[in-house]
Amino acid sequence: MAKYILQRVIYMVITLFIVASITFFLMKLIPGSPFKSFTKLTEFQQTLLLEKYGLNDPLPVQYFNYMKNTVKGDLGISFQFNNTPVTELLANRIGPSAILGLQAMVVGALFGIFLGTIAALKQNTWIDYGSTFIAVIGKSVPSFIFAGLLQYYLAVKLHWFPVMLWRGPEYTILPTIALAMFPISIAARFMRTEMIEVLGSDYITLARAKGASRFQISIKHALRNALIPVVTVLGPLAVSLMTGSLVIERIFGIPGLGEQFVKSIDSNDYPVIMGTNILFAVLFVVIILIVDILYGFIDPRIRISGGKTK
Amino acid sequence: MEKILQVKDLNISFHTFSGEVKAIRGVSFDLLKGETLAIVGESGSGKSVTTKAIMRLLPEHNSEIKKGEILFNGKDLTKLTDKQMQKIRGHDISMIFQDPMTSLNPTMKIGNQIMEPLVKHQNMSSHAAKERALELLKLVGIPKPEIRINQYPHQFSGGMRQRVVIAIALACNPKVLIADEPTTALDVTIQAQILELMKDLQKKIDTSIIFITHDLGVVANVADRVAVMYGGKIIEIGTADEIFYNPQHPYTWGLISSMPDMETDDDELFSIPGTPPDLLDPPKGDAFAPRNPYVMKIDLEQEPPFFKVSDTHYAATWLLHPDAPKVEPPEAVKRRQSQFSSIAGTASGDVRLEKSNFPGTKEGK
Repeated sequence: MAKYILQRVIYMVITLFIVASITFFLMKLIPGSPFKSFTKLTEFQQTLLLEKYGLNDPLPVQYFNYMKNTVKGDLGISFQFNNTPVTELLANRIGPSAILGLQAMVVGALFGIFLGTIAALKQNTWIDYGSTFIAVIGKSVPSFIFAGLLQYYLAVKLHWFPVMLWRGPEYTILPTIALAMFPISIAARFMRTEMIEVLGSDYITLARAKGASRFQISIKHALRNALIPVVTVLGPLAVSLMTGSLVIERIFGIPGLGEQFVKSIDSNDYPVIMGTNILFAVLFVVIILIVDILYGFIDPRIRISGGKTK
Repeated sequence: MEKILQVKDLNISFHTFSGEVKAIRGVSFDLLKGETLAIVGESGSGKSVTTKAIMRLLPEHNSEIKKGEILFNGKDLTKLTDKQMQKIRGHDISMIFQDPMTSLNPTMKIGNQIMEPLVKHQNMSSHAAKERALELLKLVGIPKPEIRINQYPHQFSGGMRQRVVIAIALACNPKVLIADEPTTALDVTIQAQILELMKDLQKKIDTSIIFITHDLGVVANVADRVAVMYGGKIIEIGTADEIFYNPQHPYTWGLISSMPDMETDDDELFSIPGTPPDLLDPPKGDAFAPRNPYVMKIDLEQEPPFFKVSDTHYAATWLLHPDAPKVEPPEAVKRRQSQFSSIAGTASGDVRLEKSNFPGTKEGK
């Protein structure tokens, strides 16, 4: 197991290196300069600034310097946010995004799996159609519409929750629901399909032939087998939720990563773009690793033994 | 002999988009205590549907038992609720399935899968159930049961998995064991081992077996009695000797003729011409009539009743009617009869095709 994880970590480092390189060169293709918006500066002052930050060096030199600093853990300083180091900027911002994303993911996965399971067990009844309806709505209606509706009815009209801002647990509920609609629909649809397939398999017939009750069959035999493919879909989805949803963060005034990321692209704030992207990539590969380890718990056929994958 | 299970005039239909498929059309048979009844017939003849109906494992949304009774212990199984049926499944009647590669839960240790019916039906503690599971694994011939009990199905070969499935089926010492083509998915040497095991276990726990197969070699090896099914009906039923030495129905002749033997090396293997009947719209007369080389006018108009050949042997063909012309079975059937006799003479007295044809098979295992 340890050997397997070590091997995976080495691959992760290689992946991150490639991601960082591609991002670096793509970012340099964006036209404009970080100081164009500082209209009070003269052309000469702007050139001085570019010189100071090494932005006039040839591209390979810039790339080499950046990579060298990144390996040391120094992601540079932001041009836009008063010379704050990028690491500090990200550290301040990741909290709300991660909490919101994680909550939305947990709510979405649990509720979606529940919906999908009962839809499969009660196939072609109103429960099934109801679950399908929720899933279609959740997938086709953009999250900002849910956000607006939730704010209007539950916050403005009924005063159950605060309308916006980020000051405590009760502030997280509405954005979590708005953000969870998408994972709910994905999990529900996948779970329904998988569950129906599993319920039609030979080992379920054998379980029935043993005299097991419907409940025992669904919980003990079907659920775990149906979860395997669902985990695959939910893993990457978790990353995209955790790295922040720009729209939801804007609507609820949440100081998260998404908002800052878009601002930094607008203003060619190279170190912030790079830093955020590398952070996303790190989260992504770590979650993929967690998903792969989770697989082993759910599916004994791909459990890792003695460094060999089977 | 005590009748353990009686199927009386069973009619089952499936409701499909194109209409009502009359899959089983009046099947009746008895299962005696301690015997092995083989049900043979081609795909779609209704073998599996009949046995699934006994277990009440047919899909609920589109199948319907139109008519008939399945009597077990004085109870009509077709009338029981699902809850009542759960107490019978796996306890009094259990089942072995065709494909051992897919019939075990891939994410559950095999020990737990064997223990499940024990805990459910016999209220065993998990410790007692584990002891019993070890015993069962030993009984079905799995080496090192203490290690194997904690393994998952993917760590077992096909033959070993089928042994586990048999262990699950036998866990509660069922009175009836239904084996739905248990050897079809296995290679020939493993087939022979599994058949030996089943015969051996039948003696040990004194159970009756319904053995579904389309392989007459297997039938000869295991069956006391044979029921031949065609087009959703039983068309001939009798003891194994009667079916092999004195078959009466032209379809049974066709089946026996299409068995490969030592002399079919250069000429092509016989097959019954034509296709099975369409059960969406079953034929008026004998369902086999369009494929029957001995067809008579009455076959197309009226369904043949069962004619008695002996106390144990019945066949539904108009050829047995006193007014019918005398027809000799085809040459291939006669040739095989003499082969059966010569093999039976050298073997232990009754028909032992399969085993004696494979010198590599281990006996008494």
